[in-house]
Amino acid sequence: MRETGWGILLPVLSLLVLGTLGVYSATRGVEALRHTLPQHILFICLGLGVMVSVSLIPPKVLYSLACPLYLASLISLIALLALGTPVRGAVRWFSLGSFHVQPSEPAKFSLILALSRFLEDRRTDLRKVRWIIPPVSMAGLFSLLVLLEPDLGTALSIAFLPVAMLWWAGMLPVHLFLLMSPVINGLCVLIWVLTGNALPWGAFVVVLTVVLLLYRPRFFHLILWTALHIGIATAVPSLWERLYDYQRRRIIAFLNPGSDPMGAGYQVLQSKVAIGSGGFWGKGFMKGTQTGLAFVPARHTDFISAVVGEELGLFGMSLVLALFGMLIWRSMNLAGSVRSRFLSFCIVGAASLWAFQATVNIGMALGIMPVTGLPLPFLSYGGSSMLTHMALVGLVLNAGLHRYEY
Amino acid sequence: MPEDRIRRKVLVGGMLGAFVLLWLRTFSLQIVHGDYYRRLSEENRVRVEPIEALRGPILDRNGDVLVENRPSYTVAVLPSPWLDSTLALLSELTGISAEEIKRRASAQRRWPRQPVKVKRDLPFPMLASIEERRYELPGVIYQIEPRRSYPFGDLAAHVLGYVGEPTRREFARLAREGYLYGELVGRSGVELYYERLLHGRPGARYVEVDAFGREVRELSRRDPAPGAKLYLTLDLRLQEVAEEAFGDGRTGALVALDPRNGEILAMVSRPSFSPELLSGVLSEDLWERIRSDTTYPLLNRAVQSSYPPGSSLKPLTAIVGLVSGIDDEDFVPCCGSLRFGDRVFRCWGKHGRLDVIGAIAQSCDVYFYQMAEHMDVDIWAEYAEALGLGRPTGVDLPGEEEGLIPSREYYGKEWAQGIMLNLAIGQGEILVTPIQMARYVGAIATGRLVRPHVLLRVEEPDGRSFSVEPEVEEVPIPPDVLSVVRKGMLEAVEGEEGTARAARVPGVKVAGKTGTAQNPHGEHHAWFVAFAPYEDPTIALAVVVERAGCGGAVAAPIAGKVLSAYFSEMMAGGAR
Repeated sequence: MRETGWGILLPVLSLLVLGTLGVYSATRGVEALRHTLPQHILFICLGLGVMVSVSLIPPKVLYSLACPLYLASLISLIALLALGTPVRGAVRWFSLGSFHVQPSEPAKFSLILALSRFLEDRRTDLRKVRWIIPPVSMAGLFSLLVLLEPDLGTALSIAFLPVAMLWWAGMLPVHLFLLMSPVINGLCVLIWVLTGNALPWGAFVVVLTVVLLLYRPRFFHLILWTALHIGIATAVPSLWERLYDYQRRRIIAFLNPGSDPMGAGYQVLQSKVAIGSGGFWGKGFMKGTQTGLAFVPARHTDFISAVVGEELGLFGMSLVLALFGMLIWRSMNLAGSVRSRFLSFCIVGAASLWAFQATVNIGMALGIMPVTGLPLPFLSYGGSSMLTHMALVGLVLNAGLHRYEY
Repeated sequence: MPEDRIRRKVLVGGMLGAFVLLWLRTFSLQIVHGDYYRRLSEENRVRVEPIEALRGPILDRNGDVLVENRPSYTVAVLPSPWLDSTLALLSELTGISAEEIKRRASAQRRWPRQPVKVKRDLPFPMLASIEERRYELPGVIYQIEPRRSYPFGDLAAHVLGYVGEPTRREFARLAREGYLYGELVGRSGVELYYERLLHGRPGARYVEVDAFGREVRELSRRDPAPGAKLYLTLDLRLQEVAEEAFGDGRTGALVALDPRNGEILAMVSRPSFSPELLSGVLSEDLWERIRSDTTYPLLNRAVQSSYPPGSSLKPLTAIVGLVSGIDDEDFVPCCGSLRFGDRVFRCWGKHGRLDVIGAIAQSCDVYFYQMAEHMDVDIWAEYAEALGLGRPTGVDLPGEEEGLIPSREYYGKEWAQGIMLNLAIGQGEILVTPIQMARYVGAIATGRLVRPHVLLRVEEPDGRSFSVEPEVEEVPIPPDVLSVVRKGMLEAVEGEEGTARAARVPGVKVAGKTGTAQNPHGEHHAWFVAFAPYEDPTIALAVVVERAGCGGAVAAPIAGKVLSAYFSEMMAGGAR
C-alpha cells in the first residue's frame, strides 16, 4: 500500500513543484501578475487538503454521492449559461468577489463518479447497445453545455471520458468505432469541403464499410446507421453553403483557432520558438527570453509548458512527460488490481483525463494540436482546475487505501 | 481476467504512445531544429508587419460612390542603425531632411521595430528614382497604403469630412483599441462620427527577416477585416444641384431633409474645402493657410453655426398666438410701424389689415408685434423647443451647435415685454442652426418632429447589414392650428402678395417662409425655409446665406432650384 501511495504522490508533488517554478518564472516582474504566484501556492495548499480529504472518504460515501454531485454539476453548468457574465466572448466563470469559479472543472469530477457508479451497476450488460446509450448521454449532456459556453477544449476532454471508461468496462471495439463514426464522418466531410482533400473521407467510408460487413449488425440497425451517415455526408456541405460568411469564419475559428482574430497563430509560433530555442538543457531557470519577455501570451496558464521547454530544455520536457507517464502507469496498474469495480472506474477516468489534457495541452504548445485553451493538470495556474485534479488524485489514493475491499 | 489485461494494455499503450509522440516532437523542435529556433529567438528575427484594414467606402442613398480608397506608395525606412549615406541619399530624393526622419523615428520610439514612414503618397517619378538606386538604400522599403479618394471633389465635403494622422496623445488612446502607428483616422464629418464603423480591424504578417531587415519568409498571417460600407441618406444628384444653386461666392448653408423620417437629402456649407487635399499629405503651410482662414471653411455651417432666424420664425409665433387664443379682431392695421410703450417698432412695408394667413404670407411685422404684446415668453420658448429649436437635433455629425432660445429667466431684471416683440419676429438674442430650421419646418409640415440623420444603412464586410431606424415624435400642437400656419406659408410662395414667390416650382405647391435676420456685423442674413408638396410633404429645407440681404431675393431662389430639381427627378425616375 505504501508503495502505491508514493507511486502516485511522488509524480504529483514533483509536477506541482515544476509548475510553481514555471509560474514563478513566467510572472516575475510583471506588475499585473504579481498576485499570481501567491494564489498559485494557495491553490496548491487547498488542493493538498482536498486531496487528503477525498482520499479519506469511505468509498461507500463516494458511491452514494455520485448522483447528487452529478445533479449539482448539471445545475451549475445550466446556471452558468443562464446567469454568467461573458468574459472575452465566453461564459466560463462564476465570479465570487475577486475569485472566479469555473464549474466545468468540478463537473469532470462529478461525471467520473457518476459514470463509475453507472458502469459498476451494469456489469454484465455493456455488450448490448442499449446499455451504452445512458453513459454516453450523461457525458454528452455535460459536453454540450460546456461547448455552449463556448469552451471547446474542456468539452472535448469531457467527451473523451466515457470513451476510455466504456472501453475499460468491456465495450466491444466495433461499438466504440461505431459510436465515434458520426463525428469522424462529419469532420472528414468538413475537411473535404474546406481543403478539397477527399482522401480522409474516402478512407473513412472504406473502413466503415469493412467494419459493417464484418460486424453484420441487424438489418434494421444497418439501414438506420447507413441512413445516418448518408444524411451527415449530404447535410454538412449544403449546410456549409447556406451559412453566411461570418458564420463560416466562426466555425473555422472554432475548429482551428489558429486562424482566430486574436492571433493564436502568433501564440503558437512564439511558443514553438520558445520551446525550440531551449535546446537540451534549456536557457536556465528564469533565463527564458521568449517567455520572460512576454512574447508568449498565457504563459502561466495554457502555455506553461513553453516556459518549461525554454528554460529547462529537452531535459525539463522529458521530466514532465516522464512524471505524467509514471502517474498514469501507476494509476492504471492500481486500476487493474483494485477489487472494487467502482473505484477501478474512478481511476481510469482520472488517468485518462490527465493523459488527454496533458497530450492536448503540450501538443498545443508544440504546434501539433489546435489551440483550444485547456490547462495542463498540476502545472497551469488556475484554482478550479487545480482543486479538481487534486481531488482526482485523492480519489486514486482512496482506491489505493481500499484496494482489497469490494 | 486476461481480457482485462489486454484492455489495460491498449489503454495505457494509447496514453503513453501519445506521450512518446509528444516527446519526439519536442526532440525535433529542440535538438533537430534547435539551432533554427535559437537563432529566431536570439536575434528576434520575427517582425510583425501590420496590414492596414481598408477603410470602408461611403456611398449615397442610390449606391453612387462618394468616398473610396485608392492605392498609394509610401517610402519608409527600417529603424536604426542607419548609415548616414542612406539618410542623405533618401533625403535628397524625397526632399525630407535627415533630421526630420530622425525626429519621426524618435516620436515613435514606443513602437520600435516599426518602419519609419518618410514620405506618403509618393509621386511616380520619385518612386522611379528611388527604385533606380535601391541598392544604395539598405533598409528602405515601400509600403502600399490605401489613401482616401473623393471622386466628386468638394461635393458634400462637410458631411463626408476628411481623414488625417492622429496626434501623439490621440494615438496613445487609439493604440489600445488596436490602431496601428501611422493609420489615418476620421477628422470631421461622417469620417469622424462613424470612425469605428469605417475603420475595420488591421491584420498582421509575421515574417522572418534577415540581418538587413529584408523579408526571408512569411511565418504566419492574420488577414485584416475591412471597414463597413456606409450608405448615406444624401442623394448625389440633389446634392450636386444644391451645391450648384448655392454657388461658390456665397457664405452660408443649406439643409434638405425628408420630414417623414429625418433622412438628410442634401447638405451644403460654404465656403468649402477639398477633403482629398486635407486627407493627403498635408504640407505645413497649406494647413496653416486653412487654419488661419477667417471664413472658417472647415466649419460645417449647417450644423455648427447658429444665426438669428429673422422672419422665418414667424410661423412659430403664429402657432403660439393661435394656441393661446389671441384674438386679432382688434389688431390695428399695419401702416409701417407700431408704438409700444415709449418705443416705435418698425415694419418693412405698409400692409394694411391682415388675417394670420396674410400676415405670414406678407411677413407683416406689425401683426406679429401685436400678437407678441400679450404673449408669455416662456410659453413661446416651450413651443420653440417642442419644434426642436435651441436644442441639439441629434444629427449624426460631430460638433453640433445648440443654438439659443431665451427664456424669461435668461433676461432676469432686464426683461420687458418689448423684448418679446423683437423675439416674435426672430430678432434679438435667439439663435438657431440651419439643420434645426429644416426640421422645424418639417415638423410644421407633418406635425411630427424627426431626428435628422445622414446614415441610411451599414453593410458589414461579412454580409450583415442594418438600417438606421427613423426617430419620430408627435408635436403637441393641435392639427387645425398647424393647418392655418401651413396655409399662410403656402400663400407666401403661391400667393400674389407672397414674399417667397421666387421659390415657386411649376406643377408643385410649395409652402415656405422667408427671413431677413439683422446682423450687427454687417449686411443682413437671408433665410428661407420651405416644404413641399403642400398636400403631402416629402421634402423640407432651410437655406441661410450670410450677409446677403433679403431672404426673398437671395435664399428663396436657391431653394426653388433645389425643389424643382427634386421634383423633376421624382417625376422622371419615380420616388427613389
